[in-house]
Amino acid sequence: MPYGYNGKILRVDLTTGETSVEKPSVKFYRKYLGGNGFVSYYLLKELEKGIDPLSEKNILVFAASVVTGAPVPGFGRQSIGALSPLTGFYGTSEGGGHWGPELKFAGYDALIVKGKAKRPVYLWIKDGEAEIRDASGIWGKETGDTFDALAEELGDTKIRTLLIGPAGERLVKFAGVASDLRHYHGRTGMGAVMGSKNLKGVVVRGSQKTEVADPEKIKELNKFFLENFPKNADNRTLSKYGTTAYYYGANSAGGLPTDNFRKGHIEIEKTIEELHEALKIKTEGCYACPVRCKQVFKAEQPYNINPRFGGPEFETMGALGSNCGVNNLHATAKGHELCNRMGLDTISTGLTIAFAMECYEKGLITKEDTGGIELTFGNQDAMLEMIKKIAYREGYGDVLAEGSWAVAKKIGRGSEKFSISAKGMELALCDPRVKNGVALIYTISPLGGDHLQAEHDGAFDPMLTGYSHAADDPDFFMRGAYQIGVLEPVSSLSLGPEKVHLVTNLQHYWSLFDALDLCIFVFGPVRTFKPAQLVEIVNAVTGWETTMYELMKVGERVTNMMRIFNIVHAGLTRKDDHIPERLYDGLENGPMEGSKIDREEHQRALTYYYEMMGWDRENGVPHDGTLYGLELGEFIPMLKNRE
Amino acid sequence: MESVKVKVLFTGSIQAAVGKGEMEMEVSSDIKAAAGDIRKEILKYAPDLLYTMLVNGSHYTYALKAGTELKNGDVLNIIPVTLGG
Repeated sequence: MPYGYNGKILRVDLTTGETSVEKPSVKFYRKYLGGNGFVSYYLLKELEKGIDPLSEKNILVFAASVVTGAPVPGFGRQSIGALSPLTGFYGTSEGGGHWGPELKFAGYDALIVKGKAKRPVYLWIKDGEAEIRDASGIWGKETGDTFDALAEELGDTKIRTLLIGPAGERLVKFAGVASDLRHYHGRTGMGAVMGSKNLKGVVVRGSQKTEVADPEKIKELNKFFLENFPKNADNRTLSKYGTTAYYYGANSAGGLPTDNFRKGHIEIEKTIEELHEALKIKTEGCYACPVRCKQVFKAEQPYNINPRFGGPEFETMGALGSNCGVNNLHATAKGHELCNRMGLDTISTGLTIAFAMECYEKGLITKEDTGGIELTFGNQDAMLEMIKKIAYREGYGDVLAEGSWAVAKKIGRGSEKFSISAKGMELALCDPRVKNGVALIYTISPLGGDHLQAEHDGAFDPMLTGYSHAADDPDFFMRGAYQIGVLEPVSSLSLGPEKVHLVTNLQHYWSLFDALDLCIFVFGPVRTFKPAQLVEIVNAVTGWETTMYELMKVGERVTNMMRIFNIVHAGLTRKDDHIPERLYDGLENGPMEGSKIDREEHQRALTYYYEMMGWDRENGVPHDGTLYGLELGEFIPMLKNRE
Repeated sequence: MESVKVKVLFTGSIQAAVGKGEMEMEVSSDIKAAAGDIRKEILKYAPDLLYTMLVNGSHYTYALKAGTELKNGDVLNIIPVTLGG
């Protein structure tokens, strides 16, 4: 058996009830690595063109990677992918926890699900055996109750689960997938795809461990991480406060989306210390990770918050909090709990509610439409009520369950500007007007409004690296950047060619993360493990003699495969590479008041990006040479014959 | 460039790391050089803090673009930078 991975991929056909196992070659593993690399390969090779994403013809891929489950911090993640019902473009969502490692321990590296079950089912995978089991008794339950029922049925409380809630069952376009209840695959509507297949969950248990090629090297690198992560500014903050700290940082910097991205600053009712004192009961972590950035919140009054669903991340606090004008963090935490229980993406949920709030403010939606709910900015109870209505598709929630862009197209009358989305998916809570590289990230993301295509600008700003080259000031931040080919710091407020270069290189690295299913908080260039150490770790796990060059090429390869997919399956052209109109308007308050994206500079940046990627200037179609250079020649006919 | 006396305010995680909320500093009136002066001070407490700077309430880049020079009594906010996540 190879080191690091099992060499086995499980196929399940829910229509026929058949399962089978395929054993790809070593070269296949080395070329795609796993995670989103596998997702992009199987979707590109096997998905029929022109299908309805919620039909039985869609394909769901669940994937770990060649290194998932090795005892290293940041290796506890997995990918889920399919044609997105929210956008009609490529869909994928990465999540943390323990499910990915457990799938490996159960003997598989990935799972490909086709067809549609006649009745509700779940998959039970244990130590190499796979079974499609009846889920009629749990269909309709929220995620927590589903977990309890499955644990009882299987007689095992240590099962690892990917589950949908009522939102996924009702095909809410931005339904997500709960990983062990407290981690989440939020984006691109993968929960709706599971619901459309009558697939309530995928449950795994395994007893084998991931064998690594060089255990001593792994021990040495883990020792380094344990000693150094408390010294790393970002890891130290994540350990103490999780990403809730970003909420406060973004607010003080004037970049916290507020009132549907009109403003960048809100008066927060509690300090971060007060918030954690009031609500936090403990922190938790993903598999093998000592950072333990997951916050667990609990409360009884004024809202009962069940700690089994964890606590809100920054994105959730922004989406359900400031962006809905809600500054009550208790209410935001309750909103998080509701979304996890019911199986909703907190980002799309929050931005869709904020969209509706602005429509309400402008008279495009009335109290009659909302069933009596005063859908005004700052109305926290309206926000909470609307979450439930969306999840269960009740009243106006049934309309909003389609996502803000679809609703805007239906309402018209200028409401399109209130949908803060790209390619039909709502933006994350990172405002490009305070870190311009993020504008390019949203523009070129194959998924739409996803902020995780590359690291953000602040760590590479000359404030940290360029204005104080004293001998005693080593390049703490640029050291990681040097290793991926970026030598000069770039201002956060630049969208010039140097910023495009930074984003492009970072995107290759981030795309590699998603192929390896790694955590950015552990391996990002300004976090504890630097890129060169990632190479050492991959070699110590697999026994390969890989290099940064080979690994970065995988990242670039996967980005190109997603691009091909979007062109072939969704007819993507330059006009789809866009940002919401609102970002060309100035921020209305805070220290960055007036800051906006320059439209012409943005378009120039997009052209530079196409060129740096080896794509044509007009529509970003990869050149033949680019694809041959990435060993993707087999997909060229698909591009040529796409009409 | 002459030296000026400014008030430097540390916010959030930067305040926690530096151990104080504000301090008076003598820095260069040139904003880039002042950023270097402040960085040297911050390095005494922690090597790898992620931050940016506001000059009298606006992002430092605006002041740079405007060719602004620092004056006695100006206020510089050192605030945490948020990355993707």
